Amino acid sequence: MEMSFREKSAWISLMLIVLVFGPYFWLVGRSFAGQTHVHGGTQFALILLFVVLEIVLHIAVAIQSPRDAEAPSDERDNLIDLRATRVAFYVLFGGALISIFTLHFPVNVWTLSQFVLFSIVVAELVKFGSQIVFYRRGF
Amino acid sequence: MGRCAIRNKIRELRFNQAEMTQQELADRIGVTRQTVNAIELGKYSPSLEVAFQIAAVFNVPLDQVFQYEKARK
Repeated sequence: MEMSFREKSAWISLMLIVLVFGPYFWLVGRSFAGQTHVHGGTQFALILLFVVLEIVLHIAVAIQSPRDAEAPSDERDNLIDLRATRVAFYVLFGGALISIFTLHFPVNVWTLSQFVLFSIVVAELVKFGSQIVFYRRGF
Repeated sequence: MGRCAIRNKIRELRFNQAEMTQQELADRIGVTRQTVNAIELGKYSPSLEVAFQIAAVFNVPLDQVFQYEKARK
């Protein structure tokens, strides 16, 4: 089945999250183990890179199929978005609780911010993953 | 969960309507071609509004487009 622009968009975001934030959290994990140090600017640079790549890839896909890209989202797109957002909410909720729980341990603000950022990234991953599953499998 | 209990004859109706394409039907009911495809394959049950719009395009009653099948035990 040929993919709609919104499904392609979900694939792009999913891949970029894995490719951009995967190595970042690998570095963060190593820094927790004291094997390396992650500079504060790295986080900002990665978010900037993520946004730029999102824009570039979406433009590339839109050029390939302009009609699909210009079409407004229909009821199925909206329903899939709502369902995926609901699934991601529970992930974010769990991540927020775990982040609060870390305050019972001797963690600094930077560590806490990494837990929060990780929760956001995983929730987004689940959201785009759910969208793809709903587009592929139906509901 | 993927397949729903609502069957439809959209493909057959399109064929009988001068081989209307999925894109033509999608344009007339205001959804994407992929959504028409998902409805035809039983991967998505449309809203009542879209279901009535599809029936109106083919100028047939709703139950000639969609049929509800009771789940088999």
